[in-house]
Amino acid sequence: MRSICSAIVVCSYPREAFSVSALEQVAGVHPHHAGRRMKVPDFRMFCVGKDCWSVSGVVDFDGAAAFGTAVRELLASASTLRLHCHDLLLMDAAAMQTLTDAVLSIEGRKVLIEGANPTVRRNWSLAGYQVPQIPVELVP
Amino acid sequence: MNDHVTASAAPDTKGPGFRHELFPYQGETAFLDGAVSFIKDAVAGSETVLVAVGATKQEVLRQELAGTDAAKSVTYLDAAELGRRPGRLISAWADRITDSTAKGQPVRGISESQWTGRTPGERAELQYYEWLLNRAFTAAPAWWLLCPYDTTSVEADVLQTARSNHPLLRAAQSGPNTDYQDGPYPFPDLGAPCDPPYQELVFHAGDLAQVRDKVTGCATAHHLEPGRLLDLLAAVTEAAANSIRHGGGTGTLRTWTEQDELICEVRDTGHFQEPLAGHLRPRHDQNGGRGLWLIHQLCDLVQIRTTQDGTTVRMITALS
Repeated sequence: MRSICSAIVVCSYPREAFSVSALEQVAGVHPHHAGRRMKVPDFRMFCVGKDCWSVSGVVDFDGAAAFGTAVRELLASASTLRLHCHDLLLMDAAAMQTLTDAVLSIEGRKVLIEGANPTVRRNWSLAGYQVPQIPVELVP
Repeated sequence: MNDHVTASAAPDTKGPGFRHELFPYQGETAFLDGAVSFIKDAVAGSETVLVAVGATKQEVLRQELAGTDAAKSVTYLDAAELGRRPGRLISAWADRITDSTAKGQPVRGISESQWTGRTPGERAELQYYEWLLNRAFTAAPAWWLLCPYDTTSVEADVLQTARSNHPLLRAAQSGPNTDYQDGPYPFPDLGAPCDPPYQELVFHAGDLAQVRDKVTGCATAHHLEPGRLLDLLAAVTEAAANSIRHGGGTGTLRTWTEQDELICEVRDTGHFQEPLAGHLRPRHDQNGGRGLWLIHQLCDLVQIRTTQDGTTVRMITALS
């Protein structure tokens, strides 16, 4: 849910009604968790403003496909997508490739990665993506 | 052995491709004779000159070249830094060669590796990368690398390996080196994990978080600084993901410490044949092939052994 109003919404998911993988996916798009602890998702992604999403945790090979699907869906309706990455710990080569594939799949789209830590920034550059041909910009 | 080399003894520099030449010498005077004539020839031919030698050698070279045309034409590189992480050597040279050849200038380099104070693992990898240079630059435009070895101070086994790794030999009669071994490279055995017993985790797809948890536990127990831990986690994640993607869908992580180093090893049943994998800077439009490259850039030392029986990647991080 986009954070465009001051409200607290609790999304209830009975454990017996959903598979473990479904619950993991659901947890990945909710910023907070209540109730009995379950496996923490590797990364979480949720809306924090218009065309601005928070990405936290680790986006790696295990989660790259889901991350890519999410980014493609968001880019379908946003010319510039801001990813708020202050709580992003790592993004591996598979995730970086997925991100660049997604942004290049729709002409004229751009992604801003905000607040990434030095490791994420350095790896992005080392991976060869910090070039004008890749419309992804890492900003403070 | 006569190690005195003069400009007249130098081979023709205008041949295409990579010239990788061993230069055994005895003492500083012989070093200067060979290095200075090499540099002056390069400057006379408007070639880019790169010199990676120790601080003392650098100083005597500067003094010897002072007041000559060559003095301002030489770019000095930090040999200690270049050699500290052998896995980054090839790309370091490749970047500079690309810059120079883009301007139409051939490149000559002098690279004297620093062998003292290195661990056996560092030394073995440095020797391997000297051999790998021959594979990395087969298609390079004019690029000539002279590798001096002081026979009065370098250990005999180091010199013997150097003779196997250099196709050319600079001596009284410069030319092909009959001791050169054009592969396959005889890798030294990595040895077994040391005592106390290592920790082990078998992983599959979906387990990368567990892999990182295991490494974090070991690293924090040994007080690895948080920034370096992140680098290590990134490297191990790449190695484990490679196992899942290319190594049969599963792999084994082992972690242990040894002589103030944290060692993370990933083993799988995969095999790759391209010795340059991970040694060349990736292009923005290449599909995949970044995992090993990142591992080399993020770790202090990387040891890779790949055979038909499987692949082992050891990522070594200094704890202090």
